[in-house]
Amino acid sequence: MKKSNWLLILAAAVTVTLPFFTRDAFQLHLLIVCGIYVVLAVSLNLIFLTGQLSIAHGAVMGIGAYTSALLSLKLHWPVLFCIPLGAVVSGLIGFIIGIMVLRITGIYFAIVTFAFGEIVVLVFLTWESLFGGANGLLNIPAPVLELPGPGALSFSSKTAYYYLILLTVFLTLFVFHRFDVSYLGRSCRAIAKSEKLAESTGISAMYYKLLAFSVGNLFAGLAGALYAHYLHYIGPGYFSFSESVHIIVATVIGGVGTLLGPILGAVFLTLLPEFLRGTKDFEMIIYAIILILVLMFMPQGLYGGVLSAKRRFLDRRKRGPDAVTN
Amino acid sequence: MLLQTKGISKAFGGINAVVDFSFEVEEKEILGLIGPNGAGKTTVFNLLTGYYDVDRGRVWFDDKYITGWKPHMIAQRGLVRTFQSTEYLFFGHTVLENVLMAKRTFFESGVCSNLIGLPKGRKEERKCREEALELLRFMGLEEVKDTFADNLPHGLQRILGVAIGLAAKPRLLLLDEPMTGMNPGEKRVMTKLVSRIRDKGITIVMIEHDMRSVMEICDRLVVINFGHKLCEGIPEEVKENPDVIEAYLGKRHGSYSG
Repeated sequence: MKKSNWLLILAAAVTVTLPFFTRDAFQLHLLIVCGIYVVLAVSLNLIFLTGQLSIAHGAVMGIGAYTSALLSLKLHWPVLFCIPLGAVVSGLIGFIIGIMVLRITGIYFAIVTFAFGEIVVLVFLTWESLFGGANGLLNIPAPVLELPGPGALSFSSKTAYYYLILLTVFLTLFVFHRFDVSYLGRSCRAIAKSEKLAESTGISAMYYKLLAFSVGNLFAGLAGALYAHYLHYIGPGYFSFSESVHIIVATVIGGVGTLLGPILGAVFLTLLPEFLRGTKDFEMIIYAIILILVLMFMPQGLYGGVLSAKRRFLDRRKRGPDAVTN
Repeated sequence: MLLQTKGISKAFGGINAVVDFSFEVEEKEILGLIGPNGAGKTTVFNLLTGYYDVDRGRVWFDDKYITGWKPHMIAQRGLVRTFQSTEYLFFGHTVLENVLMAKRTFFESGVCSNLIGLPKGRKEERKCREEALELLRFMGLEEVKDTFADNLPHGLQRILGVAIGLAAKPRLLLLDEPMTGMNPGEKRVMTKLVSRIRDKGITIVMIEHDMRSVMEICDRLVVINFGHKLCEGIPEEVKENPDVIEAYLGKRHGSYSG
């Protein structure tokens, strides 16, 4: 078997067995949050792939969260059915917004998505009868899986929820990996490089931008819905502008355009504040300095940095009379 | 007749870039589109491939009325153009990736079957790679297939530009100055390539300033000046046409007046 396949199995084995190594509820909580941010960062990266920067990812996550929470609270639909529905609604809204705004590119697109995100949060905040206003929604139920034999399996424990998140992460990574290695990903990269040239070869720029935007938003909604049913509480503040920026930073710190980069970035950004807890008042300052240093010394992000370090290491080992310089 | 235009016109503000321009392209010929700088040659390409909308006139390709179509639709139909500038490559990607990116029309498997990884998509992907490598062999780019497009010498960048166009499976390929900036050796390579592409059954319309190459490989020439068609015919006739000589060299006092 190929080396990369072994690494994949190893990574899967480690993530599956992680809950056995920790009895600490807070550590499990961090792992769950990591998983949710991995889905968010990887899905934002898909939109990045076509060369578009969306500053609405936090708000789109909120659409998924509120949709799924409301369906389960008001209509009492089974949660495991509401979560995918929340994702589909996010994807659909992304699709409709995409039709309107994907013609514009660059900084203008970023501004329009920023405005869209603000509108969404304002709707959550001011439509009190439906979305609960500033108080948000309370007592959102945990998913329950009705099994025919032994009865119901509830995801109210952190360990159980961790496995639900892990399953989602695996699904997300599989889909985005397939996107990446097929002609879909290639066409998106082609559009990002030169829309004019891509169209001259028969690639419809609008089609792929819309596809990437819709699928990216769909998975953001999925992450949002999972977040809502995990916390049992959501409020408009969770999906604000700063949340969108947080996801963008995770993607960029990890490395845009790769699959592993956003994963690294999401985990790094979720765990970093925990390691800085001891520094008290200086936490945010040190946090910011670390982010700046990462981007100064690894402009390609953490993943790019790891790759070039590995290349340097291999070059050093190879250096000798018959060394091949590249 | 593969391509036919009737009276296409395009004005930018007060400047008439192309005026009432009609011409036809027969299957499997190499047609040269020549004229002085600024005559409107590239504008004609942009009009044919949908990058500009025509003000007036019609275009038929392969018996389809394609006026008003979007560029990617026209390309999918088999009318593919290359660009004059070597800026139009997928920089930051290898030569092989450049060609693979341009092979979108090759794929028939849908979005969903690719996202869940059905065997059909995977099989297509393998076959696409084989075809891409074959194309690189044909274009003489096989040795540099893993080189980044940015690092290629100018001549090879031009050849890669043509390869990207060919990857899109054209029936009619529009080459916009494929030999600009090439040394004589590279020009010979490109000339040979163009006639080999035609031998594969692909029709070619070529804008080119290098007269020796044009006279050597073109079956027919269309001359354009100030947006108007000046004349057309086989290279030997066009070369002797007084209007053409005047357009290129200017009018000498007293001559050609009678």
